Amino acid sequence: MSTKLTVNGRAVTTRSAPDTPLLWVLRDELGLMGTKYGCGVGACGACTVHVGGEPVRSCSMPVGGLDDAQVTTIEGLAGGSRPHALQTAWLEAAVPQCGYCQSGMLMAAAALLKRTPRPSDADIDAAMTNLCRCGSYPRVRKAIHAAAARLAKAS
Amino acid sequence: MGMRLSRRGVLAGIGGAGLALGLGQDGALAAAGETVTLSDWVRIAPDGQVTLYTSVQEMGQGAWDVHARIIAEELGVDWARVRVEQSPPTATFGIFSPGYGTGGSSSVREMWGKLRKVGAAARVMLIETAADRWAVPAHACDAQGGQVIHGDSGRKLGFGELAQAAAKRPVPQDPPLKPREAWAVVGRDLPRKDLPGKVDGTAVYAPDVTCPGMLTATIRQAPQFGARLASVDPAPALAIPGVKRVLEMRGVSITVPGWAQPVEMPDAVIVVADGFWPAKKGLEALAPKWAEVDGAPDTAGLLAQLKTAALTKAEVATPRGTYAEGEREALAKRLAAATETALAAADRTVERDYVAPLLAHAPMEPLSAAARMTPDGGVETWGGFQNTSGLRRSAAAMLGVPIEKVKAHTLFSGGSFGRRYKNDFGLQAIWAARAAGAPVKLIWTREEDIRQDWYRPAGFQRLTAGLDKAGRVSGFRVVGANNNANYTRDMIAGPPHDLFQYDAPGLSMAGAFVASPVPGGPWRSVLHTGNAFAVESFIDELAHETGADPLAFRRPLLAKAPRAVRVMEHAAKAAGWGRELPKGQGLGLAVWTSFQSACAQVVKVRADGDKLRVEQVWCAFDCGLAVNPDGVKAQGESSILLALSSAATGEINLENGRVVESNFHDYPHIQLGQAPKIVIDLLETADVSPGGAGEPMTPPLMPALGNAIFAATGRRLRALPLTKAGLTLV
Repeated sequence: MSTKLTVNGRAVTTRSAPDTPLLWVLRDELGLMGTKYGCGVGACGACTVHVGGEPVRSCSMPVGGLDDAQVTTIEGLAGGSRPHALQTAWLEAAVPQCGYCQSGMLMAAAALLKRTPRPSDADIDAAMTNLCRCGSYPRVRKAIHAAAARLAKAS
Repeated sequence: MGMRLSRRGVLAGIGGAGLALGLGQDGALAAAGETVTLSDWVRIAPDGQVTLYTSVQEMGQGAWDVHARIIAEELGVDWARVRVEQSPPTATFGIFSPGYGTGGSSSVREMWGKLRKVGAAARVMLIETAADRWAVPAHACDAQGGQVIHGDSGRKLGFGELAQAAAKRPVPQDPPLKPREAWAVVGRDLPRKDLPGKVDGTAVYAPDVTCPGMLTATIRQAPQFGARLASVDPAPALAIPGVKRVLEMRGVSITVPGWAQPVEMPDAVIVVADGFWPAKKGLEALAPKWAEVDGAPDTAGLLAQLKTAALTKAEVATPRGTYAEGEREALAKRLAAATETALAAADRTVERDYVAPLLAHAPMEPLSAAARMTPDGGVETWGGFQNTSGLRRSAAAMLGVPIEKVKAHTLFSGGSFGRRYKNDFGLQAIWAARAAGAPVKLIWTREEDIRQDWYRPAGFQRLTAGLDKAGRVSGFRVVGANNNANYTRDMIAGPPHDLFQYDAPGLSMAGAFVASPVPGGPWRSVLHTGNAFAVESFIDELAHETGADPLAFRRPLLAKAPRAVRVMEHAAKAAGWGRELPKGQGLGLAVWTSFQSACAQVVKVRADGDKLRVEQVWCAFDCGLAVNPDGVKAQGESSILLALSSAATGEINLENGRVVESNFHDYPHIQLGQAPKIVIDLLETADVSPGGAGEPMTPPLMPALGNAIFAATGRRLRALPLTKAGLTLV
């Protein structure tokens, strides 16, 4: 049993059992270690990646149901050698603390900006449900606004 | 102190470090003769690249590069050009000299003075080398931007050109330090070196470690504390594709030379597989039989036990120190008698009880570590170890090898809050690698993380104050008990803990230690969260009892704590203390001194029925000097939100010695939308040794929140979390 996926623009065929969550296919089979395990029940969002452009919690998404899916992980967030505007804003605001939740946080934020290029505070509250035990939230909010402003200026 | 500066150490410790695993240790030292180890902490390449070491385990506190900042300042090098590397876990680098570990908000507190000297010594050696070459006096030269500059002639030599010769010079033992006005690194908001890898997914945590043949394991420990593994049928796990081994970890007790107690590992079943998913499926397929213990505690039983111990067995605390025979007991008696006299003479007394629940650490990275046995019978291990020395010592004892054969790599961890000071997870990974005959990385499930913690101990405290006719405090007594800790006693016992900030007449504290099968351990600020909640809530109650303003009421009690007064006045002013607020809104204040730093917070809440919104927190903080001010502010945001989340929903409950909660659905954490606006002001105190920053902004939040709820609603909370009082944080 195998599943065909496109991960960060690269076609891959996985050999993992179909009930294997996408998270563990990414980490253990494809060696993409940027996506993290936090809870295994879709509650914390550390494992957030994009499937078909939508943010999903990959710890709770069996790979067997994902044939032909387009998957983007933190490793594919930047376009080529240029960091994503969010990554730049993240560094400027010194958002991460331990950093473990930040891949998922960035992927959730990227999906938000794609959907809502100039999000309000309420939009951010609603979209950013990822958990950060270190308390990076105030800076996450600040960096999302900064990245949105920069992207709006550039376009 | 008394550290002798030397240039040895680095070469001895770092050899063979994880090249194959790409963990960031480069091969520069292998090419000896090219890169110069100028001193233990400083390495300079011929092209001038400066590498500085850190012995901080980075767990989110942002202190990983502060050692380098301190050295870079004195050395005279541009921060942007400095590389930072984790030092080997040898005594040379140990913050707890010689212990290599990270905790107690010590990274700057313990190392500030030492590392300034390290950087200054290297600078002097480079300057003297250049001065010799130019045949000019050393005092006519300066070091800046990685170069030595001769002021009169404008001649320059790069550190890379000087390092080889400089390394042969004697190491000055008392080099002159840069004056404050010349600082260009310390006290500035310069970029953190650990952050780039945390925004592109390349930072390496223990679960990310791989090496050829490495298997993945996950674990189930005895669900009831103290239970033993009776039996397990491995067949259902072994039937799952990818599962390699089912290991029974039973009765492992490690006697470590020099340690008072053996390290008792809980019995456990470990499933080893070719990935985490089959390992987890394998574990879930098993039905291990546990030999349970009788009389295991439930939550109510534990709290009742604490209350009884506090009221019947608490011993009056005396300052730490050496006493002649019988003297300590005599002093305790005098303190107790003075308190009783003061309370008896009071116009009236006020007495209140406060309860603190067990709290889990729940760092975002569930506990994990990787290990592989080495051909010499030792082991190489990787993890976010807060206590690498302790891990090496206990692992060496477990394996029966000398400590040199335990190579330990201190990685970034995905949070900790004190949890990773315990080495259970590291020892389990090593044990599993040996038992499996293969390299193993062990990743706990979140369920294990919640259920097998070393919890913030639960606490019961009874506070009694005597008040005179004018409403002033005339006597003050605290009795308390914690499981596996004695935090009331520690509040007054003196170093390493800060003394109680209040100067109340007739003051005494009595604490009891209650041995319990429920593991207790350090949780961000250790004794201070529970103590501050009780004391600062009580002070607020006393103020209201006497009709006084809580800010004004504290002033005379803080007569001997000027730094506490200053942060309190600052936070109160920033928050507009004393202003009229609409019905259902309120401000609450708390101030607390810990880890040689003073912190005050004012919390503003808005209550709407059973819904509570925390709108803003004003925080004033004095850690003396902030090496990285923006990093210290981040710690304030972090401390406030962890404390707020814990106050809102944090409690671990027990049923028959088993933890009820298991994951973020029933041990929830605050979300972004619930976070208040946070304003942090740093107040500097000149000419004091820097205090801690990672922990001391935690204690004031819970009482300030409770005091704000009282101001807004008239409801007094004496136990947390808010959910117990039917309040929901929105």
